[in-house]
Amino acid sequence: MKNLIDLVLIIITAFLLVFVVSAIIFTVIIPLNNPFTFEFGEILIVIIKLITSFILFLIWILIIQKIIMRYLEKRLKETN
Amino acid sequence: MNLGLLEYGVVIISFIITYILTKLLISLLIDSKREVLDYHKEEKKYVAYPGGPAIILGLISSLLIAIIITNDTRILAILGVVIISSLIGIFDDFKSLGGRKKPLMLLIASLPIIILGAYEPNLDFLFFGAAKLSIIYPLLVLISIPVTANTINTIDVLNGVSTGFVIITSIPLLISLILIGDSNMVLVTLIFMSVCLAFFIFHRYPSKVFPGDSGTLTIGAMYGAIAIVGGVELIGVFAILPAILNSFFYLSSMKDFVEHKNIKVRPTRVLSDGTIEAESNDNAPITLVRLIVAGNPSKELSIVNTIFILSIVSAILATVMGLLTWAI
Repeated sequence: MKNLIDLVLIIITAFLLVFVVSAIIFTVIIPLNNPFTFEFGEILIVIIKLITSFILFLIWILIIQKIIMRYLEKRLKETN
Repeated sequence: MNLGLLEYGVVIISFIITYILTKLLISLLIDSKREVLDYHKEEKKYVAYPGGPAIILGLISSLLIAIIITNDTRILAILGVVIISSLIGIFDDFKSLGGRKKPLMLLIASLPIIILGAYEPNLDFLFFGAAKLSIIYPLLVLISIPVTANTINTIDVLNGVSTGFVIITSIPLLISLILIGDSNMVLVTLIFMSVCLAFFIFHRYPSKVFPGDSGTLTIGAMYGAIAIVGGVELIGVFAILPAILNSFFYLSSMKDFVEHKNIKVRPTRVLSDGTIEAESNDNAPITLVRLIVAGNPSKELSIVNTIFILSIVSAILATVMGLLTWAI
């Protein structure tokens, strides 16, 4: 149970990050007009939106990975 | 929203059916020598496997009664998800499907929800407002069932974790569905919880039976189906966040869908006294259990309790979010 508080903080951080990133992606970026209109402008907007969503998703992954790796390295160093 | 005596009767029946079937199945599995080594025990202990068929039969029989009582096609869609995912799970128990084929095959389990149109393509984000996702939502449904099924499957590494975890994380779904006033989905969630509870009695530490892939994939898929069909998908995602993170850590460290049994370096080591410690090798996958025991070697029961505490935390966060979304 020694690591419990750290892990609870990781869960809360992940919760907030997932919430903010998914809310931005689904309410601001993703709502598409109609990607099947085959108008150049519309298609371009869809591509930009998808790339922005993907970048936000990558940022989320990087932040979570950084937090986890720092935690794991610190804990494993304590053991050694 | 009101459940009648008949509905409560179905919930109790689902518990009794699963309890009796699990008890019978354990004796049957032991008699036919279908047992596996409980890896995290000090002494060599063998446990009956797979107990999934008892969960599956408990769920299918109760859902059939629920369909007759309610005439709700949404429950038919959930039954479809349960049947397809359980067939994939049973096949995987007897002839391993491999890490990549399993999630791909589970895409089929999402089809009953899409074909029967048992979803509303709206997501309600607290503070951000609602989003209507008529184009992208069916795609989200398609990937959601494999994600939840595999997520629960991946977290099932210690005694009682998978069933205990879904019981705890179903509570936010139940509260949200009660607030929405969807009595049919409340009934389905109660059936789901009571089947898992009946199985948990035998699965909890020290386990008398393991659910196997047939059990974990089925309960994971049904959890996802309830969340989507009940329109409480965000609550569902946030409630199972510890399990999602576990799958995410595992996938990002292995960089592939690799079955637990095929891992070259295991994430943890079991010492001679039964204590579990984290593997320090950089090639070992990152899992929730490895994070729990990192710098803190622990006994299995203590790790199981830590996972339950983390799931209670995420369930509370999801419930608060559900309550605020409903109130605002």
